Amino acid sequence: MKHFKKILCFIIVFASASCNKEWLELEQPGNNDKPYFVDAGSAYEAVIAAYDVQAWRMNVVTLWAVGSVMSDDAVKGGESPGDQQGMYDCMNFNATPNTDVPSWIWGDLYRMIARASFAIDIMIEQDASGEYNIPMDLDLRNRFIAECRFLRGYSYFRLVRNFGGVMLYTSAEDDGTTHGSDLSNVRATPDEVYAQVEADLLFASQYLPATVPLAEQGRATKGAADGLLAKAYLYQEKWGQAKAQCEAVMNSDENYGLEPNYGDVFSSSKQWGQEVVYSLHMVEDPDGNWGEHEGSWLSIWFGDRDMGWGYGFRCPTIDFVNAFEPGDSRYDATIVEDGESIPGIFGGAPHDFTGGSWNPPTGFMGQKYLIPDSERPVTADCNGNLDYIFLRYADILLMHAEASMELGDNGVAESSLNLVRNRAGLANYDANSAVISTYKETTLLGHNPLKASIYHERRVEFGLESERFYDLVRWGDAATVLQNFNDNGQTYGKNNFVTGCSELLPIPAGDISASNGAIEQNPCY
Amino acid sequence: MKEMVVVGYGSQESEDVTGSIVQVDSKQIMQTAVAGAADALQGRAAGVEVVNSNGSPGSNTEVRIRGLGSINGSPVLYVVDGMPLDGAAVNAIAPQDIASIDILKDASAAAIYGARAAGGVILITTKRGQKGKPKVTFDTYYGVQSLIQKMDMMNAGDNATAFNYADAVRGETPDADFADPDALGNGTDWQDLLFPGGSIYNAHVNISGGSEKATYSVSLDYFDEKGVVPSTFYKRYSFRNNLDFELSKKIKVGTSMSLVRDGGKGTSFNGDRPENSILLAAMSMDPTITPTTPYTDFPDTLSLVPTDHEFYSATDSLAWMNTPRGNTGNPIASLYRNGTQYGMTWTDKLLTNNYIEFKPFEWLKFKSIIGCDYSVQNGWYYNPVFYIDATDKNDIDGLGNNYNKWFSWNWENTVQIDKSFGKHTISLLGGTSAYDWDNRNYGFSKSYLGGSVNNEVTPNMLLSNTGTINTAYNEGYSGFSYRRYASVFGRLNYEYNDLYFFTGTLRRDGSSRFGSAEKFGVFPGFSAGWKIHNEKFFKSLQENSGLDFISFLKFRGGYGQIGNSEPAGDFAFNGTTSINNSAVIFGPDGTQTQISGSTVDYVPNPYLRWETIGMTNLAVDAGFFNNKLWVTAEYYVKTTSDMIMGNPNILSAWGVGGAANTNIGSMENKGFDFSLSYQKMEGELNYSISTNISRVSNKITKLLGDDSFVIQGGSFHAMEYYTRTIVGSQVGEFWGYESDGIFQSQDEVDALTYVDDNGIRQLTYGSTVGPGDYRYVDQNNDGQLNEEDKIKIGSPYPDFTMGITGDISYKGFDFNVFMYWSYGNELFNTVKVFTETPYEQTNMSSYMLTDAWRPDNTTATIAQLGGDRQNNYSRSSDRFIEDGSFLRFKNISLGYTIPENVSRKVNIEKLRFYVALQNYFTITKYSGRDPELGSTWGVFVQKADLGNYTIPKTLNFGINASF
Repeated sequence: MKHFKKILCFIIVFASASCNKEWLELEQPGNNDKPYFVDAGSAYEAVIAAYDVQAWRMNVVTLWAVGSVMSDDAVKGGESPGDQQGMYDCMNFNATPNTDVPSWIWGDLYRMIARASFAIDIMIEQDASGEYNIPMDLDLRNRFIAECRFLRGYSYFRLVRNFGGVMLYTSAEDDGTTHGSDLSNVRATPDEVYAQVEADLLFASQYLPATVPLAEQGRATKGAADGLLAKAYLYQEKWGQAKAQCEAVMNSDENYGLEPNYGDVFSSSKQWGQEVVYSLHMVEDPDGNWGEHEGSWLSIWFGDRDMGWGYGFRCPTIDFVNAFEPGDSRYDATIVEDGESIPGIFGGAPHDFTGGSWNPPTGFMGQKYLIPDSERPVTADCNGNLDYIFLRYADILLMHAEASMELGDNGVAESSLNLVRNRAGLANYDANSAVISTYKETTLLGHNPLKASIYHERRVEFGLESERFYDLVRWGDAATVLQNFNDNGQTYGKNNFVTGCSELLPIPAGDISASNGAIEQNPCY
Repeated sequence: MKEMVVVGYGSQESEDVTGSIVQVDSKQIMQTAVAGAADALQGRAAGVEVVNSNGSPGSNTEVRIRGLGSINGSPVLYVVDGMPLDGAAVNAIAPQDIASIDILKDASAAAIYGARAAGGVILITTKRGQKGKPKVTFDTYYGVQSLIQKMDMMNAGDNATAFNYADAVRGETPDADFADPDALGNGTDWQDLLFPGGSIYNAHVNISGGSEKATYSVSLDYFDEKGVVPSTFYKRYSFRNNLDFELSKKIKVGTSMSLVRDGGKGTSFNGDRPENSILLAAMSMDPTITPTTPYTDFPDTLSLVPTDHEFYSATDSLAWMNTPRGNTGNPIASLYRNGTQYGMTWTDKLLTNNYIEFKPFEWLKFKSIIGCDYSVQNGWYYNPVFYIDATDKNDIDGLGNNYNKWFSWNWENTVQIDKSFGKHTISLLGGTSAYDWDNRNYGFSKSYLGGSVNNEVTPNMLLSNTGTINTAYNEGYSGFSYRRYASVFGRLNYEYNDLYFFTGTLRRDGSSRFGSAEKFGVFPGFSAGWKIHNEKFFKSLQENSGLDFISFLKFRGGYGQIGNSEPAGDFAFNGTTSINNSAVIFGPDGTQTQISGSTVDYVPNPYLRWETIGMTNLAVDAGFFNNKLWVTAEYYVKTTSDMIMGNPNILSAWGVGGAANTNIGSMENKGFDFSLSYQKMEGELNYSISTNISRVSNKITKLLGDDSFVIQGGSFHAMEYYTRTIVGSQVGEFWGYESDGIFQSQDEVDALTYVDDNGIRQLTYGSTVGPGDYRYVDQNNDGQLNEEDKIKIGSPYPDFTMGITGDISYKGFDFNVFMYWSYGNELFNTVKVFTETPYEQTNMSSYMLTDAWRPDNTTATIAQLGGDRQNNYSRSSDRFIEDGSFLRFKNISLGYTIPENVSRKVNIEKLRFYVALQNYFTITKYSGRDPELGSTWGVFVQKADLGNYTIPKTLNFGINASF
């Protein structure tokens, strides 16, 4: 009976243990049962999570896939038409709600919005007695919130210029992240979205620091908020506010200015130079994986396929190559010609665009964001160091020129325009110069000399920098330019542009069906 | 001796069972040459559907008991000698070591396993030693395997003719090489070239015996299968040791231990299009090119091929050629790369299971079983640099090494009381169970190892981290997951006078997979039986009416509930806070460390709970002529509620990482199981025949509470979705357009128009469709062809499946036939997308030359060569639907046992030789390679032929000997 008792005890003890609920409460890897966001450190992590989305691969790809490839400046390129089919469909104005490019923009920017809003929520939540749930220094709290609102303003600005009015979610509670009910899946008007952009950027402008120390380079600054706000005003044709906001940047203490040498703007040595107002910070991630990390892979997107490190995308059109006027120093920094050797890039080997095993469809390639061999990422192709400049000082100047011109302040407009022209080695604007009569903006679009010059200047100054399609749309010139596009007999489907339809991208099909149709599709899709 | 069946936590006389339990014995398991127990179950038991549609050696077999329990599938629970194991561990058990397999089919029987029994329970009992002198058995077989069917493809001349025709239709310039098709002759037969055949080999030795106090059974097993696709293989080495000791009259202890190393290589070249599927590539490779065309630029690439490879040639850089047409890569080159020694997975397992049984009185028994499954898996691969042409190349070599460790333990304690009071017999069982599972994994990969087309990286370089390897290209990962279950359970069996039987069970399960709101579930089951043949009134009825040929008659029925926790995932109820998962680096390049980011990435669902399956079972068992003829018929209804699915109504605009798993659906399965067997076991001529028939159908009764919600499946390549799962219908039915003949003229095409939203008249078929292209029925007559015109065009579910086994023996000879019949389902043959069109690939089925539409063959039912591909081969339609019925002779074997008086002279107790044909004959109307298909992508796409790796046919020779 001795054994019997022992065994019985054993079983009884164990049986009670197996009913124990605690034994079943396993801690989830990477998760914490306790509220995680309790102090300034964890609040900062929530802010970081919003920054994280900025450099995600497709989030950056979509900038040029729409801004350049859908314009008269560039064609898709790549190995074949089917290489990035979605981008090809966008270029042809054949995108559908199932095309990937719009869904990348949509998904990533809304992800950034959700993360920014979540961070704001946890920093403004108060208990019944009015105490903040997360105790932290007021200035720090305001700066963190300002950073989130900057990122959210940036996201909504990009959404509204791609899709028109979109749903406005400004708190995690709006979007079901925490509550899962009472959702407002209804698109706001473009004006309402711009109002949100302005409110976010004004707050950001008030509370962001004018400068950040070197170790924090990449975090948002007041200048970035001011410059982006200027652009938001410009897109709404609020000329007075746009001009004033540009001047806020131009007259700030931060000494923004043009790099003397245009080509330097896109080099790693000037990535925090005086011309950069806001850039998407890219750093080679030591983890080096192909996930959604911190590196840039623009150089491999834009490289020559025959050089062993390139996918051959975003090739400039002949139409764009011919737009440079004689003596424009920007040409060489923007365009790679057949036979051209670029020191330090691909070992300085000459590019062969006619007899190679792969040739760019237009016979030209782009040079901006190609990095020297010595700066190639070692961990993964997509993991480069070079920042992507979203807003630079030349843009502030040309926005200033455009807004001033629209206000009838032509002298001011000309002086800002001339700063940009002179840097490129060109003479001051002269309404009577013969070259203006050769601009497409004059011959095709019939703009007056000053407008033609400012528009033309934007095109060549920001060549292949993802501005052109959005500029054409806001100027109302997109239909004329694209429907008449002819590149030595090739149209690359750009003539399919339909007025009233092609200005905006389709809302992704998945969200329309998930909302049971509450989200309305853009016209013609 | 009464036949016993194994029930959960015990055994019972099979005649007394009230639930639905079927037993497959050792003899049946060993009848066919298969790698694992699951394969051996095919066609053996009514209601148990076993499909192995993957011919890759060592691949997993799909077992489905009584239909589709859930849109997530409901995995079968395997219990080996009382220890729950996963399917992979079960596959590692040598079939010869199995004494019996008992399958708990209905919920009243399975409810004792509660929350993990949703898919039914398969109880495997391994052979244990018997008292007596040592007995040695030796079993071995060797088989030759070949492709189950070679497809009839065009030869080179016909291929050129077909291309010339298609080019003319498309208005393209014909290929200059094809000016004289006849001159091209037969060309290359890629199927012969790529599939030289495989083999299967098994050897098994067992020694068993024992004394009064101790018994043993020890076996060694070696299994080696080389697939029909060269370079694929599966090998298994296993050792099993079952020991039992009687410590005293009251205490018994025992242990089972199994050590297994298994592994091999499948092929990543098993996709759904010629570029990534070896079987499709073999059909669609250009027959006009020969594999001996040298690729002049890179002759040294052959250094990547091991010299003992069957395709290797020292003098001829044979396989490295470019493909002039199509984008099918070079399949021989792919096989080379697959066939290099780099790239395989090995698993080492230690399975152990130990018990102590204490029986203080005849009526009282305590038992404690503790066991574990410890597995370590190591997989590694090397992707070499190679260059065949600009599209078929790899510039960057890479090495990966993945390590996985699983450890699970299970501890069960039971107490059982057996008592009889007069005519009443009671058996009471109570117990507890605890289960803990964890997995750790990590791995690394490196790229830019320095290999080049002229410079192979050797295995030593890979492992030693020397040579040209740049450590900067290292990447690593690690992960882990775990889960636990804790349970208490009880069962009451009551019997009255061998007439009335009752079983009631109750199990309460708790699991770490659910949040505190729904952590526990209770699963009841009960069943009852009535043996009419033992009733006095029945006996007198028999005597009076001549019904005395009825020797056994029992009615039984039951109801039970079981749960499915598998689809919940391990921590899906939590809203995941992703910590350190979104890092950012600020500051100058290369000098700063990253800053962690954290956010809420998943929507939580604390109310997530088990999928619950309730099943009612009604049955009759009858024996005739002293039970020589035995019939069992069963009917069941199975209702599944709280089916789990990621909530699809989450917008990407909400910016969260994923949709919470939610209990959002219900479905129902109904079916019949019927089995009949007859045996004569006297005299010199013995024979038996047994058949089983199963029929089951399912119906979705709720999805999200939205009757219009559709789950689509099957889209691939250019083909659109071809299955739908909707409320009121079975899961994954085929949907598409109904075809309506072939357009005979352009006028017929152009006559079909509609007016679009802008008031503009549009062509229904667009501008590219012409004569010779398919026409489809516009179901709603709106002039447009769209989703609304699609109808149900077929069902992947058979009307019934049937297994038929016949055995006959005369003197020393024995003959066995085993057939499997699946009747009444349709198949979706996607292979036609490639074999009927001259676009993506370069060869086509032979019938395209004769049977396709031409202006002089207007009665054809197949569209014109070179017609509109989008219209003909991207639309889902009944053109892809075929009758999927088949009757397959799974096994035909003939054996001869040498008379005992002869074999005794050489000290052999029994010596049998046999020859067997497996899967050799199939009767079917299906035009594709093999109609025996399973699930392709979960349950939403079943019975779709993607041209994947099919099972082989085998000719086996074997010996069974015992000493």
